[in-house]
Amino acid sequence: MSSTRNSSRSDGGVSWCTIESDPGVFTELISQIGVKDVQVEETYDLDMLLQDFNAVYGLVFLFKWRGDKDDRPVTEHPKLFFANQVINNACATQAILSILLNNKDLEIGQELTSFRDFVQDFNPELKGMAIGNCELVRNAHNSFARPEPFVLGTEKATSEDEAEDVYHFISYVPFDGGVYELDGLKKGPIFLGSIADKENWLRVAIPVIQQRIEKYAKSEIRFNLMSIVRDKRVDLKKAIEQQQSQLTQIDAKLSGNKELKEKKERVEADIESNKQRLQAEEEKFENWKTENIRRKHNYIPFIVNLLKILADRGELSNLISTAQKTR
Amino acid sequence: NFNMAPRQDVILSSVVDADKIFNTLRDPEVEKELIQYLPSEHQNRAEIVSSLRSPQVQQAMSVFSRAIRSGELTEMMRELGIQEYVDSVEAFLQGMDKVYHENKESNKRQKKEDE
Repeated sequence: MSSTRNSSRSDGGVSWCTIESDPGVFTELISQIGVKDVQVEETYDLDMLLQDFNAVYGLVFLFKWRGDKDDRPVTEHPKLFFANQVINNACATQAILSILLNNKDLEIGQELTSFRDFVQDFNPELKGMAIGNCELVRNAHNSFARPEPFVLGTEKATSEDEAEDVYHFISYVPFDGGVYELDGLKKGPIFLGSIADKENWLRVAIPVIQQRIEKYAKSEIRFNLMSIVRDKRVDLKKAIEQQQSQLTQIDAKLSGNKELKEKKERVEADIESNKQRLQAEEEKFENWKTENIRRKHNYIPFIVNLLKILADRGELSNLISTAQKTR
Repeated sequence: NFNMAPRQDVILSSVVDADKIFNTLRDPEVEKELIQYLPSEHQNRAEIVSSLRSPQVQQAMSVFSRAIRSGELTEMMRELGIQEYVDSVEAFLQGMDKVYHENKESNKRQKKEDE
């Protein structure tokens, strides 16, 4: 759970700041803790997620928490990484970490691998505390702290308003032939169903998430779904490469063959469309990078000096009166 | 939504609206002065206008406005040379105009007299 209030707690560790729940923030955070080729996407359309050729490692569902009763039994799996939520403000990062640590196909880097080995036999509560004390993860998380240029006495009132909005993050992961819901406030993981070899695990997870969405939409509770997927640029680059070698093969046999000529045109069109998608992804990563740099910067001196300049040039008084008229 | 300004006050982002002050922002001297206040990775001319339009800087402006309206930025106002008590964006901007515009004008007059 994360709340804007109570930023410190006696968990023995250094405190974790609140961070913005944004795909660009999470994508950079994941790469900072040493995990390769993963990106985070906001997901609006579950059917489209199912059809996408891109690998989906896990889903994070976040919603405004209200302490609902849940009678589903929890289960145990000796190898599955499940941690209790004991660190304030770490919930999003913990939900993502639960997905990353439970995936065998991912390159999670040396540090996270030794962390996973180290905590393997801990109980869920100890695992939660271990996350809180994991410097690698905590430092990456805290590097997204928003600058707080002002410390004000009246700030409290605002924080109290915001404290009503407590968000909770839960993860959905495939693991060892099963699909699980990982909720750090529960005693253990919830088993949602089995998947056959090579079956898409989302077929099991999506109906459960769909139910949640319907329930929350009905009672107007805010929620958001994020998918943790393979870096789309990796798949697109691979596809383009394959299509280009296909093209070379076609060219070699081409001479006057009408069927092959048509095939060539199809492949060329595919390459073109994948190149465009790749470019869109590259641009998205660029934007995320830019936004993350801005998030961490204190712009008050920039704004104040801009105002000084405007005043100095005699433009400010006009701007004030224009703004007064339009308010 | 805490971005909502009290109805009677001026909205800061509408004063420093990149569209309204575009020409000023593109003045090489202004660019040179402002670039140093951007993040070190972002110190280029184009970033001045695009950062001003970005949600992150808009956010900073509403945080700043909220702080100004609390009436607690007395220390900062003093450092800026604003003597009057400030608890609205409008009063703050009037103060800035007074300090940085009128001072300059009187300096000019002073210079003329010296000559």
